[in-house]
Amino acid sequence: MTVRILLVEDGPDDVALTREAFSESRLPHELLVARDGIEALDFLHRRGEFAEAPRPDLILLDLNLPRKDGWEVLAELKAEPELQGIPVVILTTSRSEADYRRAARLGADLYLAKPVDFEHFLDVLAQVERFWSERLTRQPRADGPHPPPAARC
Amino acid sequence: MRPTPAVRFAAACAGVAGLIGLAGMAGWIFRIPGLVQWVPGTTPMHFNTATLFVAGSAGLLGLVARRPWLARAAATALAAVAAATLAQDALALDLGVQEFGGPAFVPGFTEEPARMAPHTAVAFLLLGSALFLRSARTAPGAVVLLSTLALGAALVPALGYLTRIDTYGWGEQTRMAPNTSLALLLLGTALLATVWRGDAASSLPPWLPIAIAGLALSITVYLWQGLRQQDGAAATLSAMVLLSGTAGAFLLAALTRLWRSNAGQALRLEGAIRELQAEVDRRTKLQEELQSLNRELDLEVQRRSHLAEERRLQAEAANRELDLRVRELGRSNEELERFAYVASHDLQEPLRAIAGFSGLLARRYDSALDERGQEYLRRLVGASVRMQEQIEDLLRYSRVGTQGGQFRRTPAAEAVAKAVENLRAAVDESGARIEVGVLPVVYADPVQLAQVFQNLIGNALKFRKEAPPRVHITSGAVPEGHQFTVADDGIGIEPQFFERIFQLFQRLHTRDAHPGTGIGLALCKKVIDRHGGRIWVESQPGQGSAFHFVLPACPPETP
Repeated sequence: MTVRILLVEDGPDDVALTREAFSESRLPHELLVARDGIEALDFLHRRGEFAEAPRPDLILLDLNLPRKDGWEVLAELKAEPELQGIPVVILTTSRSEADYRRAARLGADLYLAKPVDFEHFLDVLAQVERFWSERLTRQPRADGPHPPPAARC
Repeated sequence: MRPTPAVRFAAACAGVAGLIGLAGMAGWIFRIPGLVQWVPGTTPMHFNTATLFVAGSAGLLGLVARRPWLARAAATALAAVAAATLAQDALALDLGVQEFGGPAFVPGFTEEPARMAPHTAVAFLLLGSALFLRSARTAPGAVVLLSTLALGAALVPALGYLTRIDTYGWGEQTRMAPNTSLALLLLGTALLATVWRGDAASSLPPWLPIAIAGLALSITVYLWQGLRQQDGAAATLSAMVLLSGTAGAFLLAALTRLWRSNAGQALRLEGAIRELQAEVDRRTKLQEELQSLNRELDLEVQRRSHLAEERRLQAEAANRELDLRVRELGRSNEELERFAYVASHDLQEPLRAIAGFSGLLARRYDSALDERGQEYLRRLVGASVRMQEQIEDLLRYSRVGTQGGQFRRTPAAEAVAKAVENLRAAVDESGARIEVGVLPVVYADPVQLAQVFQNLIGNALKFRKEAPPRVHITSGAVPEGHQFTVADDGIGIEPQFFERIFQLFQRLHTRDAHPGTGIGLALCKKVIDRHGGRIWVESQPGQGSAFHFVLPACPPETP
């Protein structure tokens, strides 16, 4: 079964790297990309040019986005009964505990810090896969998101 | 003693009487009739009389000048000569008194033979006695009585000369000279004046009735005597004068006495009223002073409340200013934080691209590169990772102040336990022994306190010698609060670096020897600063280091 993943990410480098990392994954997937918050919400609501857009199974959401940031997207998503069931993985550069708490409060399902090098990035995506497979076996989930990885000293 | 007006008056009267006497003597000696016989057709002043005036004047002046012996001597002379004269006349003897002490009778010089009139002798006797008593400081009553009797004796002839009624002699006896009567009046008045005490306003002298009675009685007697000598119905008239005069004298004395006592009462009443008035004035003045004080007090109160209000306004203004500054500072801190956040995100994005693609390159195309190319690629990845770590550390450092938690009661032992747990891997790897003493409960941000311990213990594990490190964590009370010490037996630090190690990104070692960004101690310092404490190090190279920090018992408000 193919997992349809919506990546909300404005940096083309990040998009490319994510695509590369997923290409090494065993998980059958389809990666869709929205370049900012408004595009992401249009896609999810199937508005405008995205009228025919498919419904994603999983959302990878960056927080720092043009036009409408990840926080707003997350809040709107989780307030929408139709959409709130789609698991959201926050994929961000921020390692701030405050951001983690805020994401949890807004209903994010997983919070992952973007690592700098590719090897670790693969590990992070492995966590997404693990999360996905656990979710498939243990639906519906009730517990909160996983804590962020321990900060290195 | 300052002479009172009465004393000065007495001296003046006595002086004039003395001058009249001296003039008389000079008239006799130098044969100047005008000095002896003032009015033609009247009696001249006898030499004896003139002498006695000089003596009496001297006596009175002596009394005034506090020479009682002079007064007494003069008084004795006056009384003795007068008494002798009277005795000689009464007994028809010639004791030679009339020629006493000088050229008595000079034929042709005066119309009549000069003699001392018995009238005059009586007056001198009275005056002499009065002067003697006065000099002996007896009660004023007798002095006053004698003086006024003498005054009367002089006054009746004086009035007689003025009215041209012959009242200045007794029968066919020698008449009293006009200058003699004047001098006698002066001497009597002088003597009375010496008795006068104090100021007339306070009260009338108690001897006033005596004086008035004496004067009236004396006038009556002399008048009676004088009138008896007149022709016609003089006998009944003189008797009537004597009777009515005597009765009048006593009546006058009684009236005076009554008047004086009334006046005294009035005076006392007046005095009481004056005192009362003074008291009323005093109280009024006091009340006015009190009112004035009250007004001043009111003003002072107003002034102070004004001042207090002003200070309050100033304090409010200062507080507003402070609030503004705090808000500004908070805003600038927020801006700084946002800047750091955004900058780090924006910096990390290209960095991640560099690291990511070089990693991808290494992963997928490693075999296509030679060994040197692979080495370059490794360095590229390493540098990106380090830069990312530094950005992360910078962010953490900036968050200490702005995103710190609340201060709360925190068992320091729990913070240490959490730090050791976080360092578990490093502890196990190094085989360290960590000994923790009894630690107090402090008032601190628990997350940050654990961070401090983690950084200090982490450093102790990192900068160790070959042997497994030993770390001691102890605490003790100091005046400001609690002092903690994290001591190790590691490589130590040279004293010149004691300050520098607490600065951001300052490192003492190459990355090869001891990896790290140089954030740990700077972060510790910032946390301890936020708690209002201080941190420092004691160390000897090769001997180990001891990091001390003090947390105050009452840290500042949570920022």
